[in-house]
Amino acid sequence: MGWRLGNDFKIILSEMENNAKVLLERAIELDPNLANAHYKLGVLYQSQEDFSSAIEYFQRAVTLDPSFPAAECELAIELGREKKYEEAREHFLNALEADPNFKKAYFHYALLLVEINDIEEAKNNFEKVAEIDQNFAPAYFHKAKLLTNPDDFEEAQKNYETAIDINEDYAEAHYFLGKLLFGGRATDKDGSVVNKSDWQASKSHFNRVLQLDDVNHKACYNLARILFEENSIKKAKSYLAKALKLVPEYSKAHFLYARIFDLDNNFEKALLHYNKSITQFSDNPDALFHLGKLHFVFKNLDDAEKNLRQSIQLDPQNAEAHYYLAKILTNHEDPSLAKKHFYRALEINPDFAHAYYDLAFHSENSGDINEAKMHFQKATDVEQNFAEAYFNLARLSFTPAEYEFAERNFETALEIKKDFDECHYFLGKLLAKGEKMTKDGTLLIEPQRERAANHFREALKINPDNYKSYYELGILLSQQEEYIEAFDALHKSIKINPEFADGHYELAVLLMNESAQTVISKRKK
Amino acid sequence: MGISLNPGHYLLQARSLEPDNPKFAYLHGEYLIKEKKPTKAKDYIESFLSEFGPDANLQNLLALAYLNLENIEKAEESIGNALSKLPRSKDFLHTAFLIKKAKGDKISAFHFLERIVRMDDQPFQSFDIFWEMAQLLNSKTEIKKKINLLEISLSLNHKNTHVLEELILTYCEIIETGIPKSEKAQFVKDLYRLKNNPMLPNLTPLTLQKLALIVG
Repeated sequence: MGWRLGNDFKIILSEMENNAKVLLERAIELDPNLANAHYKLGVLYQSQEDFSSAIEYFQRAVTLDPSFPAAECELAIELGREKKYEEAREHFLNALEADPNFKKAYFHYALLLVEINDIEEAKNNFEKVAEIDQNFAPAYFHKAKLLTNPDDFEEAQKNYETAIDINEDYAEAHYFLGKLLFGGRATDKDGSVVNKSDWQASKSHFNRVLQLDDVNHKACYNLARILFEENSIKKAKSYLAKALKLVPEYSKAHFLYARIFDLDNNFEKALLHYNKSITQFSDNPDALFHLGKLHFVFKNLDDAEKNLRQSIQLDPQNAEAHYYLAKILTNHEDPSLAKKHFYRALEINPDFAHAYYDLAFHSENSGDINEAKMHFQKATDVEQNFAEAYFNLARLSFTPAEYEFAERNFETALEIKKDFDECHYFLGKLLAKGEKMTKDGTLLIEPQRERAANHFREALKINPDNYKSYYELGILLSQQEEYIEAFDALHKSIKINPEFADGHYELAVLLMNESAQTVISKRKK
Repeated sequence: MGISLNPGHYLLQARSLEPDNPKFAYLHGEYLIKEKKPTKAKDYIESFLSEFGPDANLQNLLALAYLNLENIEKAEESIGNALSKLPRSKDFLHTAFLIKKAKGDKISAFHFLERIVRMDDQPFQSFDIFWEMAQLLNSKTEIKKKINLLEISLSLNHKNTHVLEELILTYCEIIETGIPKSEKAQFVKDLYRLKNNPMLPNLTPLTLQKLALIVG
């Protein structure tokens, strides 16, 4: 019924406008200098969206009456629509000169200034509007939208709130205030950036938007963002589904949906939504990065490389994208290609410990052990609890000349990560070998067999399948003439890994030793 | 199924897992020689070398296999190949010594042992080298040199009864031969010193009897 009435009303209005147009044209025929008639005809064409005719009549009106602020203002608005900014500006100024308290002219002039990026002047003009009419909500709202600097956080919040105070159904103001409170980037008194986000308030503003406009897909998306951050994944998914139902080509929503599926290990769906996000918006460095990373995890290295390169092209400052690309390029025969991207990642983020760590492996694989050690060292400098970096630094220092350095770093790794079986194994090997170089270059062989055996046993306590620890322990026990224990340890090594040729070999060596054979045979019998 | 204590069983496993590993091949060859199967050892090493290429350690082992087969010519050829790759390997020099000794070429045999001694920076490991050098010296003209080598060998391993016994018998031999009085007194004095060795009760009665005849 309502629709029928509305439709009828439109027909009546259209008939009235046509009648008015006929009458106004008749009036102009009678008196072509009737500026007001030209102006009103312009307004009629404007309402019928015949903008070029509207401009024509407004121009005639201002020519006939040079101090006609309403005509000047409407002409300026239409010229602005036509992107004739300089002409529009001139007519706004004419309008304001003729009527210095002309609210509409100030307001639309401010919008024009926003359009031409004269933000400071735009702010002044919105303020002027608010001075003229303190209950004109859009002035506060549009001014708030211009206050994007963290220093202006509170002022922006105040202006949005004022717009909502004036008009509590102001959906756009609720939406943008919701966004401001979600981000929360502000500064404190000494200018440091602080987080003043208020997700509860933000959510309530987005919910208000949906009360006012239940098909607002952006509000759905932003609610989903907050819920995602709050780990309310199920709710976040339902808002994203709604946003995508409203706008199936909504790139940002596809991206967030993909992130959720990605973190939920539903990689198939993650892949689908990253791709949809990129299809809808190709200059999408974040989606390209995450898609590349996902392909990397699944060893689709060609696709991963392609996506990561595209991401870097759009956002060259993404350290992680450079890092993953470098990891892919480590397979390339030219080691400098990967290095370039590792270094770029570190240039962007000098505290990127994992980039140092993987760069170290790359240097090691390229045969540059000293450089590898330097990078492992750097990884430990940046992240002082990086047990694996200490371990690998020690592993590469497994030489008589660096015996103490290696021992110290193995021990540091074990202090950080007590259940690091591989580290116990390597420290055991170092101690069992006991080869150290004195300052004058003399090679000393001082095995610490008891300590070594303890570390092998510790490795086995942590990981009973560590066959190499059984193997080393077996050799150590054999050297100590504990033949039965040596046999048992070596036998376990091949039981765990029957393909371990060295284990079979050492068993043969042990059993070829007559003393060992006698003791073991006696015991086994 | 019980756990095998046969080294051959494990060695076979190791070799089947890594058929080209020369360390495993070496142990297998060594095992066959130890099991008194030098022909099998020789055949196996030769086929390994022909399949996987030359390896100095295996060429040394092949020389030992030929030595066991008393094929001195082939043994010399193999040790020559090994030494051309690693001329300072003590093991290879020792094999060369054994071959020359078997051939009866005492001078060359002695020469190889001297090379080992010269490069040995840990002499406590070489008492057997001095012992073997001493055993190469049988003529009366070399008897003093033999005593010196046995003294060195004993000082490096003073609990070795074989060295002690040989040294006592050599002293007895030189004292019983016609040597000047002044020299004889010195040898008797040295022999008297050996009488206090704690390993003396482990020697054969004949040796003890000879010693008693000279030093009482």
